[in-house]
Amino acid sequence: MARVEFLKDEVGWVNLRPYAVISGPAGARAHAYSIGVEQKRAGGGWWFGRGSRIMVRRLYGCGGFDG
Amino acid sequence: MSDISSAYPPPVIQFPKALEPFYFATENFRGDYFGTTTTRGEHYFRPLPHEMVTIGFTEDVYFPGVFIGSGVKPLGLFCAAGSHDVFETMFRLYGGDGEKTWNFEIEHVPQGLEWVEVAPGEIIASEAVYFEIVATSDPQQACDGYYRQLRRQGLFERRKSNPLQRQRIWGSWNFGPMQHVTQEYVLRQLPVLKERFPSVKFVQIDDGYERPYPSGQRAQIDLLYGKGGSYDPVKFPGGPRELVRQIKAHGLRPATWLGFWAAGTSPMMQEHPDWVLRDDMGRPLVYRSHFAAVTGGPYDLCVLDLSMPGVQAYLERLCATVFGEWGFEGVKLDFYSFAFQIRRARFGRGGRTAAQYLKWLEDLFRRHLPEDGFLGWCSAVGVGSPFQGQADYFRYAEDIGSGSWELAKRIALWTLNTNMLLREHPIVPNIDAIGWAPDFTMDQWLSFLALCAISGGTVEIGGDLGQLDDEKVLRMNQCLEMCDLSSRVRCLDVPGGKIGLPPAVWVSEKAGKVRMAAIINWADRARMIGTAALDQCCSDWRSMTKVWPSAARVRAKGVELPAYGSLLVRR
Repeated sequence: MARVEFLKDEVGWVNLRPYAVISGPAGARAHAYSIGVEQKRAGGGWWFGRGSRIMVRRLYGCGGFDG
Repeated sequence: MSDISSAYPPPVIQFPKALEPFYFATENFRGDYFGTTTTRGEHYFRPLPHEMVTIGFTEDVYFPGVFIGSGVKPLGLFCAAGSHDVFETMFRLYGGDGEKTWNFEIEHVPQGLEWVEVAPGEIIASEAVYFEIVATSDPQQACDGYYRQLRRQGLFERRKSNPLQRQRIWGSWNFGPMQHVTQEYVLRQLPVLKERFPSVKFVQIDDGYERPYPSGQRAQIDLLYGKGGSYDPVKFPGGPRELVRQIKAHGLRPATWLGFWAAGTSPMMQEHPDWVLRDDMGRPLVYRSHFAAVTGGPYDLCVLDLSMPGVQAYLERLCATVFGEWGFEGVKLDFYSFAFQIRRARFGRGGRTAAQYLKWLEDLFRRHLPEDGFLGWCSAVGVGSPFQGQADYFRYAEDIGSGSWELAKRIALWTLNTNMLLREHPIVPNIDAIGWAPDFTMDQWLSFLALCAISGGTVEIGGDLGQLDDEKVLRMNQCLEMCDLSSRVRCLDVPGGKIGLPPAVWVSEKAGKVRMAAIINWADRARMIGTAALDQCCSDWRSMTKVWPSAARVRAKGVELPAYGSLLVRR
């Protein structure tokens, strides 16, 4: 999975890496999320669009997932 | 330090300690509200923490973002939610390596639900998030790129139809009889409004008109449930239809207040206890207050569960009646945010999050209001968020009520907190009403008006207008005229540490140019207020026009002001 870094000089965000991507069986329950990785330059910064796939940190009752 | 490192290191912010990083979030100053009913924060800025801090977890409206700046050079990081369609965006800081990096997580939480279920093969879209590294340590100057992008996303579309850009509001609550409002009081204002306040078009009947129950409690959102009428027949003998007719006959537009919680002693709550929203332990979300008490009290006020079909049907009927049959054209929806932002709230029928139910509510009101009618959000002590949907204003800060100097100072601090990152306004940031209050001295009142004028968000007046002398009418009209959604307010002396007095030097900017400046002495003694920062951002402010008379003495390095005095100038 992609590792994302936004750095300029000595400051920025490092390792904005998602935890897991849901594509599990019925009944998978997501409790908390990290962010997607499909970013683009926008405005002068970086924009993670709504189309990013959701990243799930904790799963309940899920037999398997891709992450 | 240890030589142990994680094979899967957490996401971090890189910001060396030598740069003295601090962070700003609107919650630093505002604090929590629903759980504690306190709103008295003492800092805008805090050092990056070693303890765990989650931004976006407090209750009532806050800005969904964080700014991290350097205390020693113009450098900062700005990160904020780019949408609010399904999930709440939260930012977590939790220590770091003590030298260079700070642990940092972003979570999207399905507020109102324990979880979301994902069908086989289904992928859920997250909310958008924006990041920018900026060459400033002032959060007020860090967000231009963010708003450019939000504009492209269509977030400012409602502004085209927002009637409050030209038409202002008179409300019956502030500076007035509050809950003791009567038909006679409202009707008495109509000719005065017509004759002396040409920009005021909406007449907003605030809380106090609703029918009382035998318990002694006044109806709230339940006012149309069951039998027994909606309005208090003693205070409003003509009822809503006659009120609307009279307002329209004066060429004005009727608007109403609705309190978005149900009276605990109402027939609605007696017959439908299942309509009350519950928390994650199954406890009903109920507040207890003398608010809405006609006699006795305190009484319960119950937050409704929007996932209940019966609640949805009732609200649909309420809107059809209030806007369709009665003819009101604007609404101040008060106490609206409890159901959507109490963190432990859980909708009875899962499937949709708080953001989705809020959208449902907004669509409901928009569908029944005229296109050029207004929808106003009013929460207990909201700050500002750019994601206010298709509404037309949100009330921020504290209720001005009958007005006082101490409240004016608090509202000044709120104004800065709200506008620190909310640099552009998809809807009007309503500072609450202006009006005359005998508790103000004339100097204090003009300083409060100067704050309201420079905030750009004064759309509402209140009080018994026939009592006002010509000068007060003139000043209030000037203040209303200076409201401008496209202006941006900025403070040039933001308090860095523990907050004492509010900032003294304010500018209102439009298209990158200073259009107004205010220098306000919040102290109870005369003071010289330095203007070096103002000289730097607007070299010609001394030649701008005084909006109203002032005892200020402009010197080379500052302005001498009497206690509570101010100077307001404009191009």
